[in-house]
Amino acid sequence: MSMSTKIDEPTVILMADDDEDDRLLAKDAMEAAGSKYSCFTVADGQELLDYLRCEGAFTGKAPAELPSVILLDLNMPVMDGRETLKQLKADKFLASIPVVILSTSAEVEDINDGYGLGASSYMIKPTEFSSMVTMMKQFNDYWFDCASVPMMVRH
Amino acid sequence: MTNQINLTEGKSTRSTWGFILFVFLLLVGVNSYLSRTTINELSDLQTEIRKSSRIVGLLQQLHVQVLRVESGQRGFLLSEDPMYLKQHQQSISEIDQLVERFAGIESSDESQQLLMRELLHTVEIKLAEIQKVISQVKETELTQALKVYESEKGQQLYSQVHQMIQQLKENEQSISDAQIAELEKVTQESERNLIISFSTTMILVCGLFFLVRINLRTQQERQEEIELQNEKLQNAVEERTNELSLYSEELTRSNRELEDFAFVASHDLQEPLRKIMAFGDRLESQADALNDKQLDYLQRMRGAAARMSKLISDLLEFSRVNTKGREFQEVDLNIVVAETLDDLNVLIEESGVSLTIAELPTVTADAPQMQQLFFNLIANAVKFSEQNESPSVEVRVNSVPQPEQLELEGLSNWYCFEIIDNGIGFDQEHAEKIFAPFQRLHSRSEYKGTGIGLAICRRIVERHNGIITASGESGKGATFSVTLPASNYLNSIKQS
Repeated sequence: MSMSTKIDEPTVILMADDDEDDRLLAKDAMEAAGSKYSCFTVADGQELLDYLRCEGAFTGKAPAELPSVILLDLNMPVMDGRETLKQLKADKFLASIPVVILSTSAEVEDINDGYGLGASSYMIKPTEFSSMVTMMKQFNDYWFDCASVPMMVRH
Repeated sequence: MTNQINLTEGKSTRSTWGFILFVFLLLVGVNSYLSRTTINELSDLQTEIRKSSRIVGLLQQLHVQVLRVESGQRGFLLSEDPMYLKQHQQSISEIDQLVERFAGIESSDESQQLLMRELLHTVEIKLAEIQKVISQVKETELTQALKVYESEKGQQLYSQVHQMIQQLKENEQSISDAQIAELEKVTQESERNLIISFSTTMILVCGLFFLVRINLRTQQERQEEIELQNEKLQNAVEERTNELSLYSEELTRSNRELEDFAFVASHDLQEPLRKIMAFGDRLESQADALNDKQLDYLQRMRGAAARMSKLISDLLEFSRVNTKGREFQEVDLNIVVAETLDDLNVLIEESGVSLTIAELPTVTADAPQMQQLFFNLIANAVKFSEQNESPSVEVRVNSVPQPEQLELEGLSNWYCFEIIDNGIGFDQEHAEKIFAPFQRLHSRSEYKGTGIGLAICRRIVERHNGIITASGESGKGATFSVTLPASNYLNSIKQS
């Protein structure tokens, strides 16, 4: 687990990806895109749920505002993206958080499954870093300028 | 082993049966001949014996009649009563009849024959003598008649006749006895023959019965052996079939595993490659810190990574032909080719190639794969005909019979599609090589591409139960022929 770059600020984007390189590249891209929102990253679905529920490794963490949007990788160890998505949508406190899948897979089944399980969007990881920067800029523009996100506080 | 059927044994059996038949026929022939001879002999003897007894009977009658004539004469002479003459005349006519009957019989003995003739002659003389006496009496020359009568000549003649008859009877009797003895002998012989022929026949029949029994038993044993062999053979075939189906399952499974492996490998191989390219990008974005040489190295590294990425994605695509294939549906190839030409629009305009596309049929197929197939083939044709001053690419179609090498059933309505270009072509010896994955006939700098396109085409065509072949001539052009059935179905064996 890696900590948010802007530790004092509340987490706005929560990202789950088992690949450390991808986490780094995503953050770099986010930075390069001029994002002003804090991003917290975890390595798998279980960690993601623990973070949101203040359980496991996050026991004792002060309940904070829930993230505005979740970036979720599909293929992860321990708990993969599909299962995580199911659990999120089954939890009445977490179900309303928008989930955007960020995966290398361009498989029709994966895309369909993602939306079917309740994902709000599906993005395919670009090969080139410049494309990744563009994507992150558009992501930020959409979720924080265009769209309205739910505001929820953990009890 | 024992499952070889002994041919020489069969031959010897046949000759044995032939010999047995020969012996059988021979015995039957000999027996019939002997029986027939014996029967003839017996009937001859019986005829002879009957004749002898008839002769004896006739002699008896003759004797009686002669005596009656004699007594009639005497009675007449004594009483001159013509009634005696009447009896006398009657006897004479009977004697005539008897003489006639004698003439019809021939004794088996020559001397007997002579004696009989003599007897008849003597009887005639005797009758003439009597006749003479009687006629004299009638003429009332009684004294003369008595003289004749008493001259003892008549008496002499009678005793002569009597003697002869006795002689003849005795002779005939002895002949008859001899014949009866002969008859007994022959009868005995025939009995013996009968016993012999009966016993030989019995032996033969027993032999035959024995042989038939042996033959039946051998046949049964042979039958059992054949059944045993059949069973063994069937078991062997079943075993072999099981082995084969196991092998086939194994093969299908390993094929599937290989495809899965290729898919997973290419998917997972893409991952680190993506990182190489991404961090390369990051490095390149900080180009101010790098000198030209370092930047060149970096660009070469990124180029290689991009090529590898392309190779892997091609491999992925190749492995997906079977694993990610779709169900067959009606596909209008005119639409497929039109879309392909749309996609190739830029390339076609740049190369200035003239296209001739025939009216194409609708086939049962996997639509995206048909698109891929025609895209690859037409793109190839355009790519390799660019160097020609007036490049041309033609797509033709012909209705053809089912290719002989394809033994699949239920496929019909075959078409042969030909994609013909007048480009650089290739040596005919490479006609098969070009369909292998990642096979290239030209350097990368001359023509782009990983060399997977035709391999994918072949996979697609084979999935569609068809055949793809190439023919070409270096510098003249190439022709790719795709033979496909319009009425098609997914081969479940290939799919499983």
